[in-house]
Amino acid sequence: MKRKSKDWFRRIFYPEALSRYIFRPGTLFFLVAFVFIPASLYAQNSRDDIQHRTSDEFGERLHFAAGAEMTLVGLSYGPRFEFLYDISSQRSGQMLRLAPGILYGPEFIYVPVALGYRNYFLNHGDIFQLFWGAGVEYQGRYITDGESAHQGMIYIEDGALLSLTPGFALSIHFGVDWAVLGPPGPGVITRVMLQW
Amino acid sequence: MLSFRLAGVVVCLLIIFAGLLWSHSPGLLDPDHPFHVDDAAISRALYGEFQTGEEVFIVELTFKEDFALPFELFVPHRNELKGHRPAYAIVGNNLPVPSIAQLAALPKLLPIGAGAYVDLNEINPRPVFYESFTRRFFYSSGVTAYVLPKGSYEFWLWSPQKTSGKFGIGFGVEERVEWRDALNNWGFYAY
Repeated sequence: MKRKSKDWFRRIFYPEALSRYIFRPGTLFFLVAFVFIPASLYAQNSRDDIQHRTSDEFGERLHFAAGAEMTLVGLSYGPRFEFLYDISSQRSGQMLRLAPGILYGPEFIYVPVALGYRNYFLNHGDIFQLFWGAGVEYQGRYITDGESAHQGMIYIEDGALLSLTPGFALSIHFGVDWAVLGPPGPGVITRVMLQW
Repeated sequence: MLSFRLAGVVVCLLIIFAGLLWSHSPGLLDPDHPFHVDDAAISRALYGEFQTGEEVFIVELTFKEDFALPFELFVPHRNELKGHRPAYAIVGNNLPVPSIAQLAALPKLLPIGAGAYVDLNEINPRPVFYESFTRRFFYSSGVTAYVLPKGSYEFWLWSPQKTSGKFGIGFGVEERVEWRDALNNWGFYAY
């Protein structure tokens, strides 16, 4: 037989209620709000008094990064790739991020795909930059002798980028995430990448 | 700036949600010292490791009223632990007498007058489940609900095949998390 909690605080923050009234609407709000960020930035950058980039080539806006990632919650290691698209005509460091990966863990194969936003700032002479980002991520953990796990996450990340040559840079990332779709729970990630 | 404002919103959301964890309350088992549970209704996940395969872990529980207790034993989902099948027995008065085969499998003699529920964890195929807070997979013995009259009981956990490796047990129904317990031994629970 199940005891009913007499504690009003725990009764309010019961997991099923949290999921139904906070997590799911919160996720939807985050996704909707996220869609409007590029639109607002485009509107901001369309003003006549702003100096625009001299070239609008797709190749100049697109950046690629590859590196190694380790997940500390749900241990796994492996390669991670990032496609970063500069959405700002002012080269202000505003990026859209698409990041697939495939990692090996002792208990499963881990396949994440992230879609998010990243902002590079505190640029010191084009050599050292800090950045932060946020977005959503699908995380699939696959096994062969049972049901695999699929989760939808909200993540936030930050890190530092060091330019090695005019075309290459080394970055280190730290991130945390929280599952809002599927089984709940937090996660911690560290990542080192080579970007060009 | 919009980007910093958005960062603040996301950080606040994560902090708020991170504080509202719900899961089993964790603990570590030691074969040399019985683990005493004050309130067995609280959902718990207790972890241990067979170093030699000869250990017997004991958990002591007391119920102030009759209780239907869900119980599950699990092992990390790793290739090297496919043959690792710890067994458990719930020992106490007012419990049925085990079968001859179950009595022979017990790691020690039952106390006089005591009975036991015995699970030798021989289920095939072995169920697998995903634990979302440690983001791990485990082989399970299957969840069984035991009707226990009020009184004191011992849970015995041993490895019949003398295999070594980590294991965990989950029982209880009421969710409560102790952050300090979870973080103090995070490495044992998570890897």
